[in-house]
Amino acid sequence: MSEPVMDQNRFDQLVEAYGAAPWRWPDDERDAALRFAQGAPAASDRLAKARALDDALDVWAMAAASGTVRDKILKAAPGWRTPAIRQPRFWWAGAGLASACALGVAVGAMAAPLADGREADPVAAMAGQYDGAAPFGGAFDLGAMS
Amino acid sequence: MKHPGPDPDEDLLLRVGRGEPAAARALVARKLPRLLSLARRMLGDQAEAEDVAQEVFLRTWRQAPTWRTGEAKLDSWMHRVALNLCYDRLRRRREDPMADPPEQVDPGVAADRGLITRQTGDAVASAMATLPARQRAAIVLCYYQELSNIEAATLMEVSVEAMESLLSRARRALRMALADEAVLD
Repeated sequence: MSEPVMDQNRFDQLVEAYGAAPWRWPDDERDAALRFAQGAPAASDRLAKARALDDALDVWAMAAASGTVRDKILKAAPGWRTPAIRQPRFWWAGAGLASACALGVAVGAMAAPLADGREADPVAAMAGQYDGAAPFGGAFDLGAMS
Repeated sequence: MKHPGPDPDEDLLLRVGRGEPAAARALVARKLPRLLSLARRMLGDQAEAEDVAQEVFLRTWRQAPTWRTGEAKLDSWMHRVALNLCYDRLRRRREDPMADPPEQVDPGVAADRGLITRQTGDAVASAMATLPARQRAAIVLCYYQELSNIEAATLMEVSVEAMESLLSRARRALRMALADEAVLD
């Protein structure tokens, strides 16, 4: 392959387009351009001017990628599995048990005055029914106790 | 688009296609910063750039299981998708002049820099924003993305001579704009 022609005109074109850093110049012209630059007094002025613009362009830095966008991308990847959040397995069974206990206490409290023949105290009866499980067993029918 | 030599990303992409999360993580670590920089510099807006990067990866995930080896380099393919998405957004902005103008300053970076450096960076961002989209793309691809002139020309579907012309015009315009801002003599 023949050596590309390098003269002042082509050297100026290269620097004007690609800047002062030789590694940005086209592979097939880099060596010839470097040789030309060593022997041409005008080349250093041209390079200095281009380098000033290169240096300014270098200053324009970018922010790093946010973790949010990285996570969104990864969640859509084939085969990606999000770690499962541990769920309490016996939540509903516990709620049912608490409700059953509360119901049992309520029935027992209502039956007690009938068993020993004394007058029932509605307030005491309600207090006796409270077992701390109000979210699950708190739906008493107060009318049924009077 | 055929490419010479092996594609350094091909193995990773094939593993992504087989559903290996570690490969997806590695590919994102390798490509996301580059794609985000490209989109950010083309669009001048961090949120829009993140949308573009996300879309590029979504398309990559869809392509991964059926990726045909030896046809296109993954990096070039992702750059082309990103560039086209950026062009689409820039076109929509032209059609919708009431759309919010892009922010010019990147606060995440600016906060950590000295005043003169920050002013220079802001001036470069503003000057880049005034370039026609194809000149801006030429600078972004050749200068910031560090693609060769042949790779950049192929991506933009122009000849190497046309790419050189875009670069020369862009650099002349940038030099004038930065001289007006007293960043350059």
